[in-house]
Amino acid sequence: MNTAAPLLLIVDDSRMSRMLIKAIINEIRPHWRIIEASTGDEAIELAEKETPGFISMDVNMPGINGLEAAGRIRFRHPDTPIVLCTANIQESIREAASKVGLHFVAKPITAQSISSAVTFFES
Amino acid sequence: MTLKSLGCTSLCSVIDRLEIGIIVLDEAHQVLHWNRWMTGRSNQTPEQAIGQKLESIFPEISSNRLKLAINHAIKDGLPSLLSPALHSTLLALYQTEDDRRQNKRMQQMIHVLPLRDQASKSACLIQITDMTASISRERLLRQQAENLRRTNSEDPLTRIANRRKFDEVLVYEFRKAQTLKTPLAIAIADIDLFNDYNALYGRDGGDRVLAEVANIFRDAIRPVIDLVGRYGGEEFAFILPGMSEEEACRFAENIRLRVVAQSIVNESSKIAQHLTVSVGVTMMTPDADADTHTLISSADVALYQAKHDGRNQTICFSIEDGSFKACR
Amino acid sequence: MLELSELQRDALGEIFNIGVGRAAASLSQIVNDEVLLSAPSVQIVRGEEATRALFGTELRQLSTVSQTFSGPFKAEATLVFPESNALEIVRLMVGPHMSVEELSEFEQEAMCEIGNIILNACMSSLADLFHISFDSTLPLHRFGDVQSMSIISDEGERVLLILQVDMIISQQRIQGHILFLLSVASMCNLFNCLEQYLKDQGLA
Repeated sequence: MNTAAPLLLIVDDSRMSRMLIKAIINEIRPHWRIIEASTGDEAIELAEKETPGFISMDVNMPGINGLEAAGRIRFRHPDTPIVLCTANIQESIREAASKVGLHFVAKPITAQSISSAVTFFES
Repeated sequence: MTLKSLGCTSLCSVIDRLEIGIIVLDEAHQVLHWNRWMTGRSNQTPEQAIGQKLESIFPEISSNRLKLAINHAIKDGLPSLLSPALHSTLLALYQTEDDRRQNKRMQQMIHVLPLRDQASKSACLIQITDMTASISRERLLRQQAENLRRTNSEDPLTRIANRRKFDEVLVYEFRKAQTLKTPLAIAIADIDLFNDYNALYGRDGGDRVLAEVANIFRDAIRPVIDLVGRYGGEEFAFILPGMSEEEACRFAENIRLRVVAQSIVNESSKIAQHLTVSVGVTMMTPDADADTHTLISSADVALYQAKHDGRNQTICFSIEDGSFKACR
Repeated sequence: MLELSELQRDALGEIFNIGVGRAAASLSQIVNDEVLLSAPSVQIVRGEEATRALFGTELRQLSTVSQTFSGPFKAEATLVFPESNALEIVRLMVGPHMSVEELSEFEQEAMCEIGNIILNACMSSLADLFHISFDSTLPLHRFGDVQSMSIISDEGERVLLILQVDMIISQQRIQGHILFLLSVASMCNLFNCLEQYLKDQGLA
């Protein structure tokens, strides 16, 4: 059992978005460690190697999109909470994702949206 | 004489004579103006309509595009267009009383436009044009009536993809796998001795169990990536992109076990107390010459072997070396 | 001055991605199926560069929908699809049983609305994040080829912001572009809004 500080994996192809999320997390959870990935494939690799406690995943990415990456990571790590960040929240996707315990947070990234993600992670 | 000197009352009577519907809403979506055209087609007089929220007059708009468009106009000041090509009729408007009795709505082209008065308070103008009168509209109506929507890809009993949709997605995923040189796995699950179940529990019982099994399968797949479809009467097929043979095997055995765990009482079965399925699974990394038939036939062959070996088991057929192996 | 820094390009790209993301949610409600929309790249070009950047040397029939937005800056926004792609979109959204002739009849209307949804979503995303507001004209649909597109053959003091658009409807992928034509002065105002936004986010 990992007793070190919680590890958050931030996945987003936009460096600005990653910086924003990191800044907000540093404010509200300064003891959390953070690693980053900029594509779905990188995320899957990092998830295997580092086994993060929480994952924040952008949906719209080049290559495999965030939904697919989240699905693949869940397959091997069914208990890792994953929050999907997207401006495109459709019923079909929301339904499918909530069935496997994926949580949605609407873009744009704000202190509130990230706080709600943190609440989900810690529940 | 200028338009200005006409004064408001005359301008309103001009609006009243327009051969299009005009509704003006304030910020709170309450009706400020309702012209004569609207009265004729909606069965609401201006006296009844003015002051009411649009959602009260037309409750059907609360879940559709029109409400979003109104918000867009009032909040963002942006105009929207709603065309009959993309929507079935949005508002309960009828050309004649006869049409109203038969519930034949008018085809509507709707423009939603922002308005701002001097005090910078937002309002919105809704303009409705009758588009019913043309032959192509008739065709569109027929087309829509013929169930053109996505229910065409859904099996009505189990609410999962139907055979047609499954075949479409298979072609698409197959091509993708060929291009990206990634693996593609297929599994087929067949309810054991379904005819006997039907005979004992009746068609209704059989239908209920099909829906229940479909739900189990739908919960088991990865959202967005995988697809489960009703392949035949009591046959369900899975498209599993990117899975290795080992992963596909594990998945297939897992769904068999989920059905067992559901403990659906089945006194007609000679092999178990509860409902069981047999599952066949196979995987391929298709090259340019490969085709989907090989993939499906291989899964079929695996399924056949599972039945042959006593049912309620999962068999994997390896296309590479033609061998069978039990998935545990 | 007309070059975007990496951070500015990133920010603008994110803002437009949010816009098209919202448009996708709207479109998926209409078609009752999954719609994914993304804007993977943002470019700024001038004049003849634009034709080259977009279409190479092929002469293709295009289906376009335009709206002109005015506010702190003015931009003529156009959604551009090769004609065959537009027909494919209409087929996916209107229904699979219609013949090509029937689809063509509805293409103007359907594309008008689809363009309206996407362009409104892009600009309102900009408006929300920059805290500004726009007026707009109604969508206008036109057919044409690359040469006849006035916005590209326009030389002189205008700048073109090009967004590539990737659309996936019912698992079919379709590509197009969104073009924003602005005067140099308007482009400068856009830059100012962008810089202010980055400052507000604590990133500049």
